[in-house]
Amino acid sequence: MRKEKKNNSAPGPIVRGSGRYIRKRLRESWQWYLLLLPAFLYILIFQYGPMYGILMAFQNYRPSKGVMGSPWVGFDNFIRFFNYPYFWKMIRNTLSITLLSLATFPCAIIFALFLNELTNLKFKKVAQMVSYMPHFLSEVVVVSLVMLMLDLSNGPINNLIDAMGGERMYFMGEPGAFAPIYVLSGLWQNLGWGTILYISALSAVPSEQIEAARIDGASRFQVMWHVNLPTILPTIMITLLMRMGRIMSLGYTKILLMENDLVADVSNVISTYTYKVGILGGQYSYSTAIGLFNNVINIILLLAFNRLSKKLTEISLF
Amino acid sequence: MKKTMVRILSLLLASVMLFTCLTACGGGSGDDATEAEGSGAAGQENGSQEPGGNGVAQITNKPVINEPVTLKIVTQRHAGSTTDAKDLWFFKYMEYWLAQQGYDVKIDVQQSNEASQEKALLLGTDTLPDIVWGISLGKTNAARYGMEEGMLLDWTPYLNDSLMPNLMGLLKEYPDILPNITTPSGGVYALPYIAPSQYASGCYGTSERLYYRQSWLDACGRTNPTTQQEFIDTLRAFKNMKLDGGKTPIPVVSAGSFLEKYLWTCLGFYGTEPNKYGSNLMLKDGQLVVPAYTPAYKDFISIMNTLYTEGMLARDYFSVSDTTAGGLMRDGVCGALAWWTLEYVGEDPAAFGDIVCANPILMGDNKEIHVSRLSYYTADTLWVSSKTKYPELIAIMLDFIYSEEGSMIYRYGPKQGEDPLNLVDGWYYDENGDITTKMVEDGVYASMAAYGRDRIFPFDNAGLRPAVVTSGTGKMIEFTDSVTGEKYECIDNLKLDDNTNDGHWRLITIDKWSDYATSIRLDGVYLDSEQAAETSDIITTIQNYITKESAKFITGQRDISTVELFWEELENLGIQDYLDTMNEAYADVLANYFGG
Repeated sequence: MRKEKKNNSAPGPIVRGSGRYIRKRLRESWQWYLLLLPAFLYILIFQYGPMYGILMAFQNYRPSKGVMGSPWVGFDNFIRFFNYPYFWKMIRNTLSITLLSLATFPCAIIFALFLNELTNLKFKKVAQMVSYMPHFLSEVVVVSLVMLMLDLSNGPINNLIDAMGGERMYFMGEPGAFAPIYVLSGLWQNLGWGTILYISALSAVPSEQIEAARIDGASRFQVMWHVNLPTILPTIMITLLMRMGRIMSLGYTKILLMENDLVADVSNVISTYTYKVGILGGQYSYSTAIGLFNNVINIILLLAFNRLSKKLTEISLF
Repeated sequence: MKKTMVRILSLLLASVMLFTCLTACGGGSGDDATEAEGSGAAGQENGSQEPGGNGVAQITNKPVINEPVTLKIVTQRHAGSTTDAKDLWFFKYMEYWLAQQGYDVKIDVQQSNEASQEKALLLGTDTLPDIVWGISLGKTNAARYGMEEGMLLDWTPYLNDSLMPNLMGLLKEYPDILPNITTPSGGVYALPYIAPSQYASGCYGTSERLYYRQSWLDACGRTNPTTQQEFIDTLRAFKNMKLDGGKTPIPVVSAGSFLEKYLWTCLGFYGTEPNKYGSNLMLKDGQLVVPAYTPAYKDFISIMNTLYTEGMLARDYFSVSDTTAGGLMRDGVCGALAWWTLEYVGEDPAAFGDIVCANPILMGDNKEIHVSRLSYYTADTLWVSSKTKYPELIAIMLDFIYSEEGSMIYRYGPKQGEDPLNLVDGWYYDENGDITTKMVEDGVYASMAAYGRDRIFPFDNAGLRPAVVTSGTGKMIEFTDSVTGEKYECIDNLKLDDNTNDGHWRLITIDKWSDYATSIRLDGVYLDSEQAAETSDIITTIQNYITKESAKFITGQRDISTVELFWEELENLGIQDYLDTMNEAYADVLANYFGG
């Protein structure tokens, strides 16, 4: 009797997404959800929580009245930014650095592919460690090193140029050299760190495929090209897409450290302007509007490239 | 077993991560002045207290507060400080001093080495502590956050002989301070730093500090230049100097834009320190001007262009840091050096004794030179949140550092053997009559100033600077204001000794420039937030433009003959609107100086 009753009340098949399905998943894998919880809370509190602050972009923010009590000004802050005489110049300067930086995107992939080919484990580990280390230097130290290297009178680069009979070059005062110095020093600092993800992805390449390719007579380069690269392509595309979503974002610290009067024409970027008027000038609404404008462009680019990627490679973020 | 281990591990990791998150969440919430302990205003009223002991003078008519109080302070520190503000003797002494007055006060100090950024964040997020210490508020901020936002404590109810007798005494002694720190609405939102001892060094300013090595002048057969042409020719001669060790001479080394400041001064601008390329407001011929938007700018860029293109300035002049420039001065590779002091020349009398101060030179079409004297007060280095629950308590505490005794204690700590806290050795007079202490004598600190900043107090610019200890000669120095013709007498209460580096540069500078000193200064004016936003936009734009174009003119990337186009572009960027706004804002100041 009891057995029958149980059979009668037996639920139907568990539908994915239903309450029962969620409860079952929670019961089965509660340890993983528990581990996820702090990160989830962190994102909720620190990433989503402050988002109401973008309201400031449409207000004349008054600290004493707070976000909810400050007067609304519509799009005035955006119009002010668009009318800023150096608006287009700042966009151009920002893009010239971020696009050049984007052009170095393949470097970490190539480096990871080559590192992966190293058979001497000791050498491989040393190479990895040496390439990671600059990542842990602060930007102040990196810029100081760059300045020392490129010093007009005593820098090794200029000493080399001089020794080879060339004329010493004032790199830090050359507007055309500003973006390359910025990007290349960043590449030096972060190349090794950037390879971690790819090396990890490369470890997932099935050894059977590599063996098979080798038996078929593939050279190491061909293995790299036809086996390794296609396997890590989804990772590459995802990181590329995420990079596209930051195309208008550029840190101000390094720019401020590197700039001088001779390169002021090219070092005036959106982030340094925002820092000067927003943080130092206390114009929070205006700087929020600039930040929001930046993010909207970033999101549009991200969505566009995500779609393009989905169409071309069937790989996308969402 | 494996499953159990996974469970334990996940629980452990999750709790660690959660704990980290919660710690991070809790970290930033404690700075608000409203969080001061105790029952607040309800517990505070005016009244008298029983006298305390231990030699601490008792204040009469002080507020009654029966609860424990925590006062939160954010203070600026001097660059290079090695101690934490929490460990400074002065704040511990203030707790003791307040305890002797009958208060149970804990002072919670946070320090900041990035004053401008800290100030913007505290004001912009309305998270002011009870007291902000040593960080200049600025008149625009006083107007915006004091007058308009009501975030800052208005001191006017507390500026009375009962609560702040020492400060009131000083404000009566120096009557020009109070009008200067009072906003148009009649409020006072910050308290001044008063440094009467700087009257002695007020015979010069901060825009004329160019010095030559006499040995270089002699070696080149030249004298201290008196004309623009001689100035350039002398530097040309320096370029051909033969130095020991085959070093390449750099005729002039400048840090902190002091060369440019000297040139602007010689071109007739005064009122405040000029920006490097003359992009800030200054005075010339009684008018408010932006130097880069005057005909004198052409003279400026012509001189700088000559210096740069002929190699009288280092080729990497635009990116040489002040530290590197200091190193070059120390190395002795330059014949002319421009900097605040002669500190980089060193303490050897033979080295600093070789230095002479550059003459004031009429450059370009300029007919007169003036240098605005250093102000003897800074208007706004102590400010308090309007949300503080203990304004009277803060008033009596701050008033202490405006007293002679308090100002000595603030800057030097206790006298030797008189520290009630037994934390520091205390100061004493050495055989020369100078104040010193054991750590200075032992060589731990180079000077009493360095010792005080690191061990005793957080920042120079607060309260009253004690005048009695820097005795100097005590003679009166008389000078005539170069603009108004008025006569001033200053007490030489700084110890100027030509046998020390510090005394030498002051003496040679006073000698050359005291006849050009004026009390006319362009201190800030109160702008409302709308004016501030408008002018900020324009000034950011024009300063950016002036900076990059000036660098091009100086290096020869842009022809100086196109300067008219440069001025036209400045007009397009709104410089005239900016000048109109600022002329309106400064109307009363200018009328006061130069008449209607």
